[in-house]
Amino acid sequence: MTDPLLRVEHLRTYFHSPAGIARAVDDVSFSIGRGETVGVVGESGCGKSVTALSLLRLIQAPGRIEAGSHIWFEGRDLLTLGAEDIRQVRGNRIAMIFQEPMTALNPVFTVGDQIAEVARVHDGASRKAAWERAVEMLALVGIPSPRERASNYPHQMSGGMRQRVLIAMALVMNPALLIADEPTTALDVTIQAQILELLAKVQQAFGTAILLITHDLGVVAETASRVVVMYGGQVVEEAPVRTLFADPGHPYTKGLMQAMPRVGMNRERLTTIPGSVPPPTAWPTGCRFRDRCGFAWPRCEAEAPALVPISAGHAARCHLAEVDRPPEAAPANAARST
Amino acid sequence: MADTPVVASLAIPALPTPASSLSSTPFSRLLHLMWRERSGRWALLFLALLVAAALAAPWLAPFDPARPLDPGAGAAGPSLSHWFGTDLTSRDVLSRMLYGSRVSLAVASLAALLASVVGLLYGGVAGFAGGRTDGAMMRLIDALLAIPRILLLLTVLALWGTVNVRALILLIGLTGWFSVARLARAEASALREREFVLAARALGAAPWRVFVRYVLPHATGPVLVAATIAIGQVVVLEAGLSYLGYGVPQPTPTWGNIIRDGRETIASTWWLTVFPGLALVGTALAVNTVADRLRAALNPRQLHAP
Amino acid sequence: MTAPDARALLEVRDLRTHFVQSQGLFGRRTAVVRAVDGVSFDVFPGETLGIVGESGCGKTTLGRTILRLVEPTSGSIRFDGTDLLALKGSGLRAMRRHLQIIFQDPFSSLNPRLTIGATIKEGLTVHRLAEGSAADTRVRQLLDEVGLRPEYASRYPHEFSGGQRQRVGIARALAVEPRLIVCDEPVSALDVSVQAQVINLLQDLQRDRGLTYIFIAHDLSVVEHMATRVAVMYLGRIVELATGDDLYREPVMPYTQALLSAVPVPDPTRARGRIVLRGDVPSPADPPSGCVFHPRCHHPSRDAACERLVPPLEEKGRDGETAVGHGDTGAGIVHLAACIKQSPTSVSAAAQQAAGGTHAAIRYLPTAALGIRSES
Repeated sequence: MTDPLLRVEHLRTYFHSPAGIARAVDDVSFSIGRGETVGVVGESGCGKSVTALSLLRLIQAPGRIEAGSHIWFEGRDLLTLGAEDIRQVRGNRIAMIFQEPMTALNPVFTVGDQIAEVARVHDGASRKAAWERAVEMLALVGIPSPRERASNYPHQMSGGMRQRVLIAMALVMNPALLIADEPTTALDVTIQAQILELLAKVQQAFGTAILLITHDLGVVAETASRVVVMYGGQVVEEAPVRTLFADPGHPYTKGLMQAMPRVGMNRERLTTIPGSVPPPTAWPTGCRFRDRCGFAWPRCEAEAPALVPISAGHAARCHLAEVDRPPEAAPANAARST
Repeated sequence: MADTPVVASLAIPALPTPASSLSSTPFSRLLHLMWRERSGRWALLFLALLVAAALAAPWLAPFDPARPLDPGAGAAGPSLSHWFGTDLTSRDVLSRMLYGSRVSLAVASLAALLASVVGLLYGGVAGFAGGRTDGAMMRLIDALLAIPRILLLLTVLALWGTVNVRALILLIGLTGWFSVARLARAEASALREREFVLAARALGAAPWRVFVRYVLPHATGPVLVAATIAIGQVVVLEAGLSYLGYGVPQPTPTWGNIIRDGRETIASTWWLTVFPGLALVGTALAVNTVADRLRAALNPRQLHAP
Repeated sequence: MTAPDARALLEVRDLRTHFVQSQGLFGRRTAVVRAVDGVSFDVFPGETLGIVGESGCGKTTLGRTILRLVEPTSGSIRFDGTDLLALKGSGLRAMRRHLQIIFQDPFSSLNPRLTIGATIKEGLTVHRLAEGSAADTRVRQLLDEVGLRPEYASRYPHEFSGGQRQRVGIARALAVEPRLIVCDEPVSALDVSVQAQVINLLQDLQRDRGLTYIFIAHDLSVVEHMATRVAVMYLGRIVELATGDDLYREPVMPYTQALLSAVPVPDPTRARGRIVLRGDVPSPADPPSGCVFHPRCHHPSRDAACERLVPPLEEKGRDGETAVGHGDTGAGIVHLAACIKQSPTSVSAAAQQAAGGTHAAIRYLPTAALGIRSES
C-alpha cells in the first residue's frame, strides 16, 4: 500500500500487576490506507479493544505501551508526541466511538453542547458557531428535527440515536480516521443496520478511513474491505475481505466461520472450537492457538509461527501456511456446510 | 463427549488459574485483599495486639488495677515502675488501662454485634418482603432515627441509676440498630431482583430459604463494614458516657473512667488524660481503617474477580 | 425425531403483563408499560419454540411470566393441563420442578457465595430428590453431562469462564428433571466459539432427555438453528408465528422481513438491497395505535387503516388457499402473521375502507432485500 494513513508497528501493550504481566497486545502490526475500512475481528481477550485504545494513547496505569512500539500517523510517531500534541490529534485527526453510547455521553449536558464542545476545543469556534455546527452534524447523521434534538439530554434518546450522536461528535472535525470499537454490539439488529448504513454513507461523503472493531463476522463481511483477525494479543490473519471468507488461512478463522450459525444453513451440529481463550498473563509457548487447534503438531509447541504471506495482501500466522497448503484435514466434528 | 476432536484430552475446558494462588474461599480472599495495603496491615496488627493485650491483661498487668499502692501519695507521673503513672488514688494506670481495654472492647464489640444482628434481620426482612410490609417497617425506623441517640442514652442511664456492663451493652446495642436496618433493607431490596435470587425462586425454593441462603449472606457485607465502624464509635461513646459519669461505674476501669479521674487536674496530671486519650484515638483510627479496607475488599469486583 | 404428542405441553392464552411506573415529581402521573400485551401460543412436547425480537419487545418478560417469576396481569397459562395461575405457595413451588429457566448473564445468575456443586444441589434439596452422598453423586453426574469435570464441584463461580458458568446454569436447571426449559438468551453473552459449544450441548440434552425448549433470543441465526417453530415479538405482541423454515424462507410480516434483512451475513459476495427501518423502536409505555409497527412499516399498501385497526394474528398459508398445515409435526402447524395488508386476511376490504384504508391487501415479499434465492 502506498503511503498508508496509519501504520502500526510492533505494538506491545502490557499490563503490569502483582499477579504477573498481562500481554494484552503482543507485537501487533497493520496499516490502514486513506478512506479504507479495515475490520479487526476477534473474541474477548484477543486484545482488539486494547489495540484501539493504544492507538490514541488512552491506556492508563497499570497498562503501558512498551518501548519498540510505533504508531505512524501523518508523518509522526504518535507515541513520541507530548501531551499537548496528542490532544491535538484526539477528536481532531483521529476520532473514536465506543460500544456503550450511554456511558460515553455526559448525562448532565445536552447532546448539542457535547458536540459543540469538540468544535470549541479544537477549532476555537465561538459558542454560536459551534452550536450551529452541532445542529449541522446532527442533521448529517440522520437525526430528525436536529435543532430541537440538540437540546435533548442523553437519557431522552434511544440507544441508536445516542450512537448517532457519538458519530456526530466524532466527525465534527472531519478526522482522517475513525476508530469504532464495537459500535453496534449493544444495539438491536435493525438499529445496527441503520448505523452501518450511516457509517458507509459517511465514508463515501468524507473519505474517512474507518477501523471497525467487532466480534461479528457478518458485520465485517458487509462493511470492511480488509480484515485483521486477532487472537492471543497477536494478528493471526490479515486479508482482503473476500479472500478471507473464500479461503481462510488460519485454523482460528476457519473455526470461527464454522462455529457461526447462519440463516439458511442446514440444521446440523455446529462445529466448535474446543477449550477457551487462555489468560493474557500466561500465553502458551509456541503458537498460542495450538491447544485448541485441530491441526496442531509438535512444531506448533516448539516454535512460534511468524506471519507468513499466502498471497497478495493475505498472510496468516500458522506453520501450515508455510508449507504448500495440505489438503484439508477436517476435524472430527466438522459439519458439511455450504 | 462424543465429538472429541484431535486433541482429545482438551475436550473439557481447562480451569483458568485464579489471580492469587491462595485458596479461594471468600474469607481467605478477603483477608488477603485487606492485608495487601500497608494501611490495612498496620491497622490489623494494631487491633490484633490490642485484643491480645486485653485478653492477656491478667498476666500482663504489672499491678492490681483496683489496689491503691501507696495510699497517701496521690497521682504520680510516668516512671520506670509505672510506665503510665498512677492515678489520684495511686492505682497503676497501665494496669488500669489494660483491664480497661477489656471492658471497652467488650462493650464495643458486643454492642456493635447486637446492633448489627438486629438491624440486619429487621432490615433484611423488610427489604426482601417489599411492598407495604417494607413501607410499614421502614416508617418505624424513620421515627426511631429521629430521636438523638446520645440524649436517649443519657436519659435512660440517668433514670436507671448505676448500670452494669451487661445493661450498658444492651442499651447501646438496642439504640444503634436503626441505621443498620436501613442499610440492610437497601441491600436486600436490590438483591431481590438479582438473577441468582430469581434462579433460586425458579428452582422452587421457599421464601425463607431464599432469604437465608441467597439474600442475607450478600447483605452482610455492607452491614459488616457498618458494624466495624460502629465498634470504633461505641468505644468512643462508652468512654464519653463514662467520662460524664453515666457509664461503667468505679472501681471497674475503663479508658473513659481514667480520663474522668483526671479531668479536674488535666494540667498537672496530664498522663491520666493523654494515655487513655491516645489509646482511644489509635483504636478509633485503626478500626476505621480496617472498615475502609473491608469496604474496598468487599467490592464484588475485587472479591470475585477472575 | 419421533412424532410428538399432538396435545400441547404448554398453553398460553391472551397473556398480559403490565407494569405501572410512576412518573413526575410526586409520582402523580403513571405510565403503564405493556411489556406483554396479549400473547397466545402453544408449545408441543419435544419441540423448540423460538421467540425472537429486539429490545423492548417483551420476550424476557414473557419467559419469566410463564414461570411466574413475574406475575401476569391477566390471561391464562396451562401446563400439562394444570392451570398455573391457580397455584399458590407450596403447590406452585412443587410445580416449578417441571418448568425451569436458564438465564442470559452467566456472571449474575450464579450465587457467588455457593460452590457450583452447592448451586446444582439446591434443586435436589428443595424437592427432596436426593440427599447426602446420593445427592453428591447426582451432582457429579450432572457436571459430567454438561461437559465439566466432576471435581469442579467444590469451586466457586468466579473461577470459571462465561461458557463454563452457563454450563453450570444448565446443570442446575437439569437437576430437578424438568420437562420444559425456558432458555432466556442463553448464549447472547458468550463469544461465538463458546456459543457453538453451548448450543450443541443444549441440542444434545434435548435429544437425550426429551426436553421441550422455549428459546428466547435476539440473534436470528441462533434461533433459526435451534428452533422448530419461531415466534416474532414486537412491542409485547406476537406478530408472526411459523416453522423455522417457513419464517426464514417467506416472512410475511413486514417487521420480520426487515429483521431478516438487517442481519449481517458473513458472505461478502452477497450483494443485496436491504430494508432499513426508519426511526427507533417505540417505548412499550406508549405503543402506537392500531398495528404497533405501522410507523416504521415499508409495506407498499400501508395506509390509514393500519393506524386504526389492530391486526389479528391469523393464518397466512399460501396466497389464495385457506390455512395449510406445514411441517412434519402433524399438529396442524400453520403460518400466522398479524398484518391486514398481507393477503389472505380475514379483515375484509370493506372493513379496511371504513377505517380509512385506501390500498388493497397484497402478498408482498421483497426477495431481493432478503437475499432469498429463488430455489431454496
